[in-house]
Amino acid sequence: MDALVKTAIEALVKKILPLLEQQLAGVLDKSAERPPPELAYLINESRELLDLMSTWTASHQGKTAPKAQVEEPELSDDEAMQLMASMDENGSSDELNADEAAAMMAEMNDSPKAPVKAKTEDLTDDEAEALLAEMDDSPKAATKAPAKKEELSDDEAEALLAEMDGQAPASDDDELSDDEASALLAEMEAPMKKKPPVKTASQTPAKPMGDDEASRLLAEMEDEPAAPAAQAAAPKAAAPVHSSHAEDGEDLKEIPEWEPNDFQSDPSMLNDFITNSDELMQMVDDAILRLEQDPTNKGIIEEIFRAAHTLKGGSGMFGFKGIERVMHRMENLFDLIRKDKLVPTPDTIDVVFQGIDLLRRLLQAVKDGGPCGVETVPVVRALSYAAKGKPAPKASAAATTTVAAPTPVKQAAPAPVAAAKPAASSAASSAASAPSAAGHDEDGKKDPKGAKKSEQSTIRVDLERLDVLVNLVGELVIDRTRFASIEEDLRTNFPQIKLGSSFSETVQLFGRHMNEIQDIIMKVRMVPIGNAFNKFTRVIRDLSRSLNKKIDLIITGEAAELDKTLVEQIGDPLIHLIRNSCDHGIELPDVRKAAGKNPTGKIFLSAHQEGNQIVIKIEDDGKGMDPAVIRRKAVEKGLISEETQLSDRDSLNLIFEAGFSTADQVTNISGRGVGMDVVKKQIMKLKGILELDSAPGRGTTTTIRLPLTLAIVQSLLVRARGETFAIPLNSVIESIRISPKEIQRVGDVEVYKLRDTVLPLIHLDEAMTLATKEGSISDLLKRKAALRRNRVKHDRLFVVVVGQPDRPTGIVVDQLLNQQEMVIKSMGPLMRNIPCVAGGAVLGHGEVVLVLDIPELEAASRGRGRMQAA
Amino acid sequence: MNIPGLAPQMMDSEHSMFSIRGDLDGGKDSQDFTAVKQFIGLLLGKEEFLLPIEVTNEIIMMNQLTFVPRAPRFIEGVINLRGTILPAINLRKMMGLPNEEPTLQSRIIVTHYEEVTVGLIVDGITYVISLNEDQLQQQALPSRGNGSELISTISKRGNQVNGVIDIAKVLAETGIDYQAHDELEDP
Repeated sequence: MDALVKTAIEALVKKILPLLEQQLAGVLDKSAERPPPELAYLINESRELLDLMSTWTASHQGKTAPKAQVEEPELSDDEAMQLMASMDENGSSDELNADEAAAMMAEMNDSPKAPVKAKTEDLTDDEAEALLAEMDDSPKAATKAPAKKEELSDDEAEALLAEMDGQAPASDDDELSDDEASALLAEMEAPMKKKPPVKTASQTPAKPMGDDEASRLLAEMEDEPAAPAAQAAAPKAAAPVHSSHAEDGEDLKEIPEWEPNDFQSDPSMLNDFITNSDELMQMVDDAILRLEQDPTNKGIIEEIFRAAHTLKGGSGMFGFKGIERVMHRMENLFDLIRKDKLVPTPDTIDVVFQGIDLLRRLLQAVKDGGPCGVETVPVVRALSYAAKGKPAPKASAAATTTVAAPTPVKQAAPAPVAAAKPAASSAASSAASAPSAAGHDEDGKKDPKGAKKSEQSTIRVDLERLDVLVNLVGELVIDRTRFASIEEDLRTNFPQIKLGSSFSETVQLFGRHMNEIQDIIMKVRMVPIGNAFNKFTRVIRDLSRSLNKKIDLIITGEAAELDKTLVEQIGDPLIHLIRNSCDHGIELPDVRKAAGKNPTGKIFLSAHQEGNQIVIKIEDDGKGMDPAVIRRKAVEKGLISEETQLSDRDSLNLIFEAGFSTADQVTNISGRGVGMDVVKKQIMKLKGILELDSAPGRGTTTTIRLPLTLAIVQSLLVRARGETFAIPLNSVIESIRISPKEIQRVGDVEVYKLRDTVLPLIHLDEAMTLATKEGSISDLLKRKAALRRNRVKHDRLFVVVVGQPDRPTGIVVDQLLNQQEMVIKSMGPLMRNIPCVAGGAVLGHGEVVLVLDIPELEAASRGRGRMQAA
Repeated sequence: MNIPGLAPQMMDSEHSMFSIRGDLDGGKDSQDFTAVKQFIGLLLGKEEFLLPIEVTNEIIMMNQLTFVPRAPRFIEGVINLRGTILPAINLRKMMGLPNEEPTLQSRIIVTHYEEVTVGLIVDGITYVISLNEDQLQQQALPSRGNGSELISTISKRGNQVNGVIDIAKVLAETGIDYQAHDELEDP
């Protein structure tokens, strides 16, 4: 431990000890007359705490610093932790003893509440909420009270103590009837009233404070009996047995992550919980990000609160205590924010995100079916400090900025009181001063599920079932094609059969309905791509903080819809690309300024639909990449030879080559152990196309083109050497007919000048090595059928122009057949890695055709060109 | 009917061979199933081989086969089995025999091994045969590039000896690591 902090703690404890003793003495005098059990309890608590503190200070005094370090574990860790917390939060501790004392007191005051917390598990949600509100109020109340301790008179001490006592009964309420409660209240107020103000200056602020406090307590008391059932149900044993610090300390011990119960073993309920919690977590995540931008927006807080609350309730029901506890702490924090007692700073949000990350891990453990053993304590601790500590630094800031010490304290005091007021009234659900948000929240709490239902009338369907449905529709589509061709065959070739109009009509109708079904089923699988984009806000935020860069992420087109599997799988490559942009693209603010750019870098993430493709763009205005540098690097790595002629764009795309992206790069693309080649592979696997454009100083743009869906694709059927192949229509630009004379040669490559562009040509039969087919069984099998390829005349060539519009490639084929919808199927584990083949598809008449993998085909031909050149 | 590679005296001998040709239910009237194993007799060129019936799903006509360029060796192409695309292995090639034009007797035996379903192209089907344990002998043959490496067991029926094809070895011959789960598998 830091020696400085240690000294500070010692000083603090020394300061507090006499204060506490003084107060205790006062209480003991009074209690001699009439000691209510609660008071006795509190006194005991305080005593114990006191003893502990004295032993602690004693053990520290007279020890050298290093020894003290060793000694540390001997004393109550929790205690030390709490002290530490108050220290940390107060920062410059020496001049702020009062504040520290306040924090300490807050801690102490908070502790008798702990039994209530323990009980909340047994309460209904609303009641838990109400109790929670109270608990959160208490530290505040305490904070402002002891803030004045410097001028503390006996009376005030007494008033303060009365207040403290007031909190204890709240926790022990189960024994109290309404009457008793009011009696207690009277009692509490009594000491304050009995002792008339003695001194003037110091008294004045204290008096209204006391009143406020009293009214607040009253509100609390009133609220309490509203939950009698739960109170009765709550185990009494929970309250008085533990000492206060033990109670608080227990909170900071590891608790079993899971507590087995019946719900856990119900798979369908568990599934519901998991899917629900995923959604809720996403909601919370989004909302927190928005909150950071707009900390005063009550609507967002309410949203977070509701989601957090539902999640907490659910996990509690299932016995996932770890989740429940973390969520609970977060809820506390949000409650403070909700009640204007805490303005979320980036640090607060960081802590909250820590909590969220932890929750995600815990939820993952739920999905995996067993506790993961993650420690919740550090985060729980951080959360509770964030909740408790923040007000203190605020007060301290006020104290340091103003010259006269006593005045700021007074100034600081009324502010929280004012804040406490609406909180108290909302807790008492009085309509008078409660903000509309509170009312709204009340509704949300009562029926969070009902509210959700009205928002979206959807049902959850197992994705597996949906996949089966999609596959079946795929089969039906094939059947339809087959059906139609049979009908046509019958009509044209067998005119003697009287089909009648109804048959043709039925076939047509069937076709039309099938189209509709297909459309719908495809839409069912479509989800907005925004689902994949949302998490990036968080990624950028974290990255910019850790890299000390200023980065804005601008997302557009998140409404564009994409197949669910694609949305799920595009996330990883996108994250990788975005990280690259942050890490290596966007410069540090100073560098940017020097370069005459806005110090805040921008990353644009956009999506839009182009035909049956989705185009996703990641654009940054960072330092960009120099094609020449990349080229040089590639030569060094032996990827290309010195003589290889490459366009700038080709050079840039070299970074996607496996083996390029290793450490020690001038361009520093990647460096995370996963290369850009993996990104490229992932995109290719999704039948997508990846493109890179960059200029030094200007930034980098990465474009990803994805098919809308993987399930059913429109394809163009072509024939080469008697073999039929399917080319997915999303990579087809156009098809043309050229004469062999028009083909020119550039080195080894055949090209055709198409309008303004030079079109490199690939002969499909060569590219697919169809000559090897000679003598194969399928060849022998087909020889029996008409040898169609003999009929192909080579005075005209068919060229299918494929690829990206600005960079097309021509595929020379013998014949263009037709355009057809088909379901691309895997050809089984033995046929996984056939070059340039994306899969197989069954045509209407039962023949299997191979679906060409156009990007791979292009790459292969380019690669060959390069190899030949090299 | 004269079946090439099959000695005529085998047809009416006392050997435990069921004379129900090409019928997969051929073993139905068999007395004791516990002691016997059933095999499908298949022809490759002139020679008869056996294939354990447990690995066999069905036998289909060979009327369509799509050539797959650059497929793993011995894989002739893919077939469509009621909407599922399956690779077909050319057993003749594995046995070192030249390709011949498929005949009306040519069949594809759809077999499965672990997670792999694959078709085996054969020149014909003879019988479903039940053999006792003592008619089988574990015997690996020296590899001569003529398919002997596909044999793990020898069947003895009187003076007739047939090799039993081991599907695992057939798959191993293709040189594909079919067990590796490629993450690039189609979603």
